[in-house]
Amino acid sequence: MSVAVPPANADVAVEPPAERERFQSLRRLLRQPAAAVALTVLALLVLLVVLAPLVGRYDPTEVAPRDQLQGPSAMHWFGTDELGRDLYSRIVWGGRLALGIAVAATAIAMLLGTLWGGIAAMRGGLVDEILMRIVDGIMSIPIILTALILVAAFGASVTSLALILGLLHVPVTARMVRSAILVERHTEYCVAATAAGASWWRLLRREILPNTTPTLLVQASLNAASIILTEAALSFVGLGIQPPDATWGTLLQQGYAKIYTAYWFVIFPGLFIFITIWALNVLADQLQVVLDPREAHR
Amino acid sequence: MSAPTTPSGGEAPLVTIRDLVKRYRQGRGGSRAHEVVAVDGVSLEIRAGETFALVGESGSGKSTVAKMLLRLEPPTSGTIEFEGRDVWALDRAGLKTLRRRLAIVFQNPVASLNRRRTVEEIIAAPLEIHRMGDRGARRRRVHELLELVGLDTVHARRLPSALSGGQCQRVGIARALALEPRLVILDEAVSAVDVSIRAQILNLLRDLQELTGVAYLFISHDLAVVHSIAPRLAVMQHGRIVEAGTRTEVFGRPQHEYTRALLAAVPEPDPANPFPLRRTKESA
Repeated sequence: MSVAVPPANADVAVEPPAERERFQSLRRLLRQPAAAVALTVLALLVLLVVLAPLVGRYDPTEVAPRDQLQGPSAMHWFGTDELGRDLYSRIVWGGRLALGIAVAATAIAMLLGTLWGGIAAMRGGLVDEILMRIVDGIMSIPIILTALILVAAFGASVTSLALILGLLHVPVTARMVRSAILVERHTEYCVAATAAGASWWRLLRREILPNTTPTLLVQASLNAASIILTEAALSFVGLGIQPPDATWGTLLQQGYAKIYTAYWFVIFPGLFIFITIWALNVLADQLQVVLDPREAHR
Repeated sequence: MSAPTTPSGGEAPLVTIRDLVKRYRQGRGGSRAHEVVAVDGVSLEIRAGETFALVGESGSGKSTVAKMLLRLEPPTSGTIEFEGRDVWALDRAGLKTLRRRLAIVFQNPVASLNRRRTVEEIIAAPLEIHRMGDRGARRRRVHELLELVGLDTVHARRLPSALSGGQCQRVGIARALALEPRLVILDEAVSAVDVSIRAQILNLLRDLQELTGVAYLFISHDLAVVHSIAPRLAVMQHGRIVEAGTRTEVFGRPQHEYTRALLAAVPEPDPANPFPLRRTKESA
């Protein structure tokens, strides 16, 4: 009785739905060991700062004069600072600020940068010329310098830091996005859409941007890395988030003053900055390898 | 068959091209910059419902004519009329109508489809652009078009990467036909597919023409294919039309030496059956 009858819908079952193919690059990304490690590290960091109220252990601003500058122990995993505050808690809560600013600023940079580069690439001619010369102008000044001036002028609240750092990364993003769009713009599928009457806006949104997601993702991770570094640098020179709150850059600067007496004070904040930047750069690198076939065969 | 380039009937031609010229400036700057003449005084007429072929080797200016007709690139001089209206003097509404009545199918079936969008999205795009029907109506139309070009409705959910070259070309044809155009430009539309698939696609194109009454501007370098599909044709060389007429005239008594050279280059001479389609590859 057990005759192997192929199910009538066998053909439907092996059907590769478009949705699954769309996630193929993500699965290929996760198969790269370096990318998997980087993504795990980033996920853990995000989890840590999101769950700060639960995993923070101590109040990061609670002063305990008798516990000042203690080394790492079971009670204070990363030791304490000169006011006896638990360094682990301060790093977790500081990361919440640092990563929060980074996410918001990256979102601003990607949104406006894509719009800017997109309009330049799609409109071409004089519009392109004007928009890109502005980009060249802004990019000729180091980001950190402009950031210093703007923060000094507009203050160092979380909002203003996110806005300033986001806006300062718009030009880099615009330049990358523009060149990615120019590659796609004259392909046959774009000409076909134009011939069917698609407006440049529709062409950009519906046809071209879906094909530039790889570049956008890579640019987003590079932006996030650069924003975290710049924010840390600003905090290090005292222009970042003001006390009693602290980001990793502030902690690094406070620890730097005690580098000979309390090594842990500078090492742990530094380590977190390092790991985050490393993970983001590896991610950008691996994304490029996975999404760009020419890179894949190197 | 009627007269070569000027149709005899009282009906106005669908496309009238007069003295079309396109020059490109090579390199930047100065007035002495080197100029390339891509199209040099081309005139032709295409009637409603017919297949007109433009033949020539690559670089002869055929595709540039198509781009100017599609209003993708402005001509240097000359006029193009579609349905009696100057294509390059259309107002907004007129341009919208042109986009609806004129479509194109490209040579590379894979590159002409957006690799990130499903077949359904690709075919429905022209309908969306011209705001035809709601989502459900568009889906029904897509399924109708898929069946029309010989594909199954299960293909609707796939990405172009899951289809063969021939299937992709059918999707391209379905997209071109979505808005029921009056003229479809077939720019080397069967040049990139296998010989066996080529015959199928040519038959499909013939059937679709019979069914919908669409006219084709068939651009090709392949004389055997042109012979099998186009009753009237023009031969282009260096941007000029060097010979035009009916299939019988051009293939039977080629006047211009370039046409003779093209013909000689194609199949093995066989007086009984001068242009057999399947010979094209073997004799190449």
